[in-house]
Parts: sequence; structure tokens; C-alpha cells
Amino acid sequence: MIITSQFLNQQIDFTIPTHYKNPSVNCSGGADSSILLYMIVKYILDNNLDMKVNVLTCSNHVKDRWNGRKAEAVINFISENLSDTIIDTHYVYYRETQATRHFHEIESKLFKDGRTDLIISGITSNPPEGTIVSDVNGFDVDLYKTALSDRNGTNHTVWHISTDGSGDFWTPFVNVDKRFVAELYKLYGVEETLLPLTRSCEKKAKGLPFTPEYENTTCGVCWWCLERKWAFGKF
Amino acid sequence: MKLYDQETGQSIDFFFPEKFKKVAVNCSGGADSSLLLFLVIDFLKKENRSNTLVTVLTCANDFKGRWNARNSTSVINFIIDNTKTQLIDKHLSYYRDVQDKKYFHEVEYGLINCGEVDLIISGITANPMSGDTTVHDINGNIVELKDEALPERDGTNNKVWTEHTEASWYTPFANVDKKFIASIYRQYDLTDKLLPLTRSCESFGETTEDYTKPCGKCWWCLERKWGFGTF
Repeated sequence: MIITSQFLNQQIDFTIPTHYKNPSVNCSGGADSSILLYMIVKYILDNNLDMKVNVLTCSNHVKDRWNGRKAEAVINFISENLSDTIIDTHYVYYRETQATRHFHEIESKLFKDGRTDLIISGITSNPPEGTIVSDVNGFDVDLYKTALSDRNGTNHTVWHISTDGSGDFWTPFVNVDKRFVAELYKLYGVEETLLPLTRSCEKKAKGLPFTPEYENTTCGVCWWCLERKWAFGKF
Repeated sequence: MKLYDQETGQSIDFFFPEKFKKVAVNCSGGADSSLLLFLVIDFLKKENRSNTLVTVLTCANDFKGRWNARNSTSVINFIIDNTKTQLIDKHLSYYRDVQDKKYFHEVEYGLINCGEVDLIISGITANPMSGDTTVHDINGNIVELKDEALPERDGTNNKVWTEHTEASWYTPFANVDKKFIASIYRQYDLTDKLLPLTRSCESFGETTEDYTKPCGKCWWCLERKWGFGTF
């Protein structure tokens, strides 16, 4: 299934080969991974595929574990609105931080135990050079210069197919940026319903816990808030 | 770890051997299993068993609007926040159409076969048996709880331990009733903190404001009222 942006020179091939029966989707409760999960469930439903999906979430103590709560809300939305028979298990693993090694440890175990045959992640490309956004205080921030450099460019490998049985990985959004993700929300008609359940802000209120009230607000100054504002037009 | 309810005279010896390093706790987000998870963490802390990992298992079923997943997530969050435990390794919510024992067994054996679990702990309690077992429902009607209780939960001779080569099952509350559970909530000062995060009601969304309020009429609401004095 080819999805082409109406406004940008960006496109993805959103096709899941049918030999995969038990894919797992990394879902942080953020905007990108939540629409990814939604699209995968819809794809399976629309194509009547014999597939059951696991959802993986790293719920870390540094962020008071909001990822677990947000991802659960996203799963509930998808179960209510699309299908309640496709998502099999939500693995929420509790770790001190959201370090990549924790993801790899869980993914390796799931492959080794035969509990999954494909890991899907929603990582996107960085905003392009020259992207300036105003934060909530009115200061201009250059998103390209302050971004994590490993997400730059549009030449990343989308499919990693293992030759040693260590597991296959798919990152369908790796060569498109968050504006493309925002278009997907509009395309699937979930901008007013699914997007509000997600969180991008990574800032913790100093010394304060993530209360439900704080969890649903944004700081408007962290890089992820600004990327979200740039793509969606709002925090 | 001896737990005793002075009012009803019920007691349990809450203990599992140190050989079990990978413990799974079935947590539905209900009052009993939420207390159970808290006690497991408390026990491991008191026994200084820092190398035991806990997996929480929840059957989130569509028939009940998957509220079990929501409530158990809140319970885990509370326990981590208040005990600072690092022993809860993961929470597996498995989505099924209904809450059927066959799904519990399928998931438990799946984890046992992967070597992830060696002990499964569940919080099933005995049916009401302490003193007067009648209670008023939300409309003021008197209900005798024993009349509609599930017979397999009767009495105080239920098995607490089931041991197999590959794993064991422990049901510490199998011979105590909900009044005992309520007493332990009070003893740990959890009645106003943990209990409100839990849910017992088994009625559907339409009568419970989308699973956020108790119906006050189903057997589980009435058992909860009998045990705690409140729905």
C-alpha cells in the first residue's frame, strides 16, 4: 500500500508481507508510534490477514511511567474503534530509563522464544535543515541543529531482514518526517480522537510527579513539543 | 509473614520459598489481587529478596470493556510510587474476548515454557463466611451473598499450593474471605489510597458510566460492600 503525501515530496510503502503472523509494535504512547499501531491494525483488518499483534512499551521510572498509561489508552481506543481481536498482548516493561538496550533485550527475548516474528517501530526522520519553530515563550529554535543526528536524512534502511535468525525489523516512517505523520492522522480521520490520547513532551515538572493533570499538559519548550507543534500546528 | 484479622479470627501465613525467582502475579485490577500484588512486593522487600523478578498478568477482556488493563496499570503505578520497588519487571495485559480460565492457563504455560516464570500467585478468596453474610444493594434490597456465590469458592479447605515440576501455583487467600482482605487494607493503611484504584463491579458499561462507577447490584459489588462497607 503506497501512501503519498499531498503536500510534501514524501511517500511510504505500507505493506506487511503475509508470512509474518505475530508482529510486535513498539508503542510509546507518542504520536508517531500510536498512528503506526492504528495503521497496522487497520491494515490487518482491511486485508483480512491472519495476524495477531503484540504491543511493546518501555515504561520508565524517569518519566514516571507515563508511556505505559498512554499506550494502554491508545490500545483501548483502537480496540473500541477498529478491532478487539487483533491486538494480543501488551508487554509493558518497567525500566529505570528509556535506553535502547532495554528495547533490544526485550526484542531479542521475544524473537528467541518465538513470540514474535517482526518488530515494527515508528521512528521518523528529523525536520529538514532550516526548520525554525517558536517555543511557548516566543523564542525561535532551530529544530534541525538541535536534533539527534542519527535521525537526519532520508536514506535510512526501512527493512532489516536477518540472515542469522536474530529477527526482522521494519521502520516504515524512518525516511519521512513528522509532517507526514500529521497527514496520516488526517488521512485516517483520527486527529481529534487518537492524537489527544498521545504525548510527545519529554519534560518532567521539576521535582514533581507526573500527575494526571500534568501528564495531559505540555511544556512547549522541549524539542519534542516543538517538533509536534511544527508538524501538527499545536502542542 | 503472618497476617491476622482480629475481628473475624482469620489468618494466613504469607510466604513463598526463595527458590522462586520469577514470580507472576495475576492482577485483575480488583481489590483482592491488587492487595496481593502489594503484599508480594512488601514480602520480597522484608525478606530482602532483591533478585526476584515480578511479572504482572492481566486478562483484559472486551466483554468488560478492558477495564482490567486500566485499573491494574494504575495499581502497579501506585505500588511502584509508594514502595519504590524495582522488582516489577513487566506487566503483560493479554486481550481476549472474555475472562475465561483457559486464557489464564494458556498465558501462564506460555511463560513457564519460555522460562520466564516459576511461580504463579493468584488472589482468589473464599466466599463470604464470616458472621452475617447478608448485605443491602444500592436500592436497599437485602441480599444473602451465600445464595448466589460460586460453589468452588466455598469453605476453608481450598488448596493454597499446587506444585508441579515446571512451576507452582500459590493462592494465599483461598481460605479467607473479603472481610479479611478489608482488614489487611486497613492494617496497611491502603483503604483510602489503593482501594479506590481498584474495581470489583462486573456489570457492563451502560450501567456503570463506561466502567467508572459500580452498579451496586451485581454479586461482586455486594461482596465488596459486605467486606469494606462501601461499593
